Amino acid sequence: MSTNDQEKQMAETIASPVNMNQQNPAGSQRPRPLAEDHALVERVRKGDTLAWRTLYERYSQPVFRFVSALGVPPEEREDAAQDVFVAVYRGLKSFRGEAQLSTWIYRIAARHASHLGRRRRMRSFLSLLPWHEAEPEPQPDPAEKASELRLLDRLLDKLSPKKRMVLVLFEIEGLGVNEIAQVMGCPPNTVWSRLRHARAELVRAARRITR
Amino acid sequence: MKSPTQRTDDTERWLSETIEAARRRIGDEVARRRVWARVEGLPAGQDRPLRRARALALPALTGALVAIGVVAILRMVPATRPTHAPVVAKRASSASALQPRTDAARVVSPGASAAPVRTGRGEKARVALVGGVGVELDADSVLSWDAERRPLVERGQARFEVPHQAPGSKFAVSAGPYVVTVVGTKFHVGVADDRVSVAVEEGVVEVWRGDRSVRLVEGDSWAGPMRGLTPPAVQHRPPAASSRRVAEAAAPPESAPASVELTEARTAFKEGRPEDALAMLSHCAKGAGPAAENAAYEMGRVLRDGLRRPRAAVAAWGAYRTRFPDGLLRAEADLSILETLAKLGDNAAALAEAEAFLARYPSSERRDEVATLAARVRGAP
Repeated sequence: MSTNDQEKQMAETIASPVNMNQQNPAGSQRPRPLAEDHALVERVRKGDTLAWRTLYERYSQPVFRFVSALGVPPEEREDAAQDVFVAVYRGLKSFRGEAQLSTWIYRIAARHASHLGRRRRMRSFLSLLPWHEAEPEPQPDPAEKASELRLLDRLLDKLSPKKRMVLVLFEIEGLGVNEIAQVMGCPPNTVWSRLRHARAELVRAARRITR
Repeated sequence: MKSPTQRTDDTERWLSETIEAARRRIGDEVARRRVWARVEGLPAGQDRPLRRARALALPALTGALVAIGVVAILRMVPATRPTHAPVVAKRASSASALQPRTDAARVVSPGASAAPVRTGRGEKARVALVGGVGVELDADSVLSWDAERRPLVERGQARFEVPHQAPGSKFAVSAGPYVVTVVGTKFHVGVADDRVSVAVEEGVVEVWRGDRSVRLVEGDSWAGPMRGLTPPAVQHRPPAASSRRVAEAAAPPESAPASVELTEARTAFKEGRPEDALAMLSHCAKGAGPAAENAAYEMGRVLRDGLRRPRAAVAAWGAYRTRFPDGLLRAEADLSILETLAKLGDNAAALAEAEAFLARYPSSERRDEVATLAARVRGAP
């Protein structure tokens, strides 16, 4: 049985508390793994600016979407995306192609978003101190008028960072479980477990709001 | 009244639909372009504003204690200090503090002496000024203070992050013969090879020399000579022939007026004045650079969504494609044409566009969407 079949079978055996598509329909949203990704990497390594631009065009939107879904506020997203692409560029020299390019970029973005999340939590902790200026409320992205998406972001905020990342990678970014395990550096079973809990918590939170 | 089961179904349906919407979340195209402008020079070795972020090396608790200490020190700084004298290093805990975009950053505490801050090769420094102004000093740079106690970039690159100033108050930075004034923004000042350069990340800045100035908005950059008597010209429109010599010498950015016009056009469109927006976009599109490219694309949106002239919109996007065949908004223009033709019921043209799109962008995230649309058009009578 192929890895994909195994994933599919596992997905079908999980009792999802919400009618999220078990077979990860979001797969169509992510950049397809391309044979030419490796050629692209080679060209970028040689300083080909057109190849670099192609790589940016291919992956910048997923990176922006991913960091947004992980709760990076609008005012920090540009810096976050910039830092991700700087890290991607610098890391390309040592990219061995063992993982798909997309997986590798998600890993960098995930690490960076986690770092920003820690910093945000630190700031929010410090803002509780009596002598510290209060943190300004993050402003909604003016490009995102949909209140449902903002509500979803608020629901995702209630998940732990690890559960949120698994849910976002699976449901929104469309990665397979094995790939998520590579991104997060944990066993696939842990991914399944976090995904199950994340879904359940998300549904509970949504029910509380819609009650 | 809805039963609990029905409520659950509604919640699940809502979640499914919202997650589906999140998958399609495209985000801010302009933001993507701004980031591209900052990273495009990497293969050419231009990594000036670009340093890899690094995860916190210290455990969170230690970090919190250090940050508390920094905050406490900041609290003890007397408010009577000269306005922009350096007082202490980075305020990691403050929202207005510098973002930790540098690694190996050297923390500098010049104290009241206001001695110049220097960085060597491969060294970077963060300086915090009274008023919440943060400075990131790049490698091989010197930051000192001029006779009026304004920060002076003597050499190298510095990125300033200035919180919004009180009404009537402006923050100023000196660089060679120029003074850069801001109300609240993020910007870079560089001094190298007898030239001063300014690049604006956010907000608006003015570069002054004597009584003349040039105004820069977000995304603009400008460079002027260190020597010579030519001041920066006020350039809010493309330079006239008589002022060309001045414009060339002072090199005010052509993109500044174009960017301003683009912003004004967007505002006009939002305010329900599509004719005004179109006129401004049309003027802006005649220029050059990113603003002109954006304007050329946005003309189509104004024509379609504001003036209800879809055919004219398709023509405008067609003109964009002809002029910017590899433009950053090329895919958006292709999709806009495709969607508009499909809505117009021009199935043959829409199908041709869809097939061209699928051939041109084999890895597009919107490939499935376009393929579905193509299938629907093919099946249409």
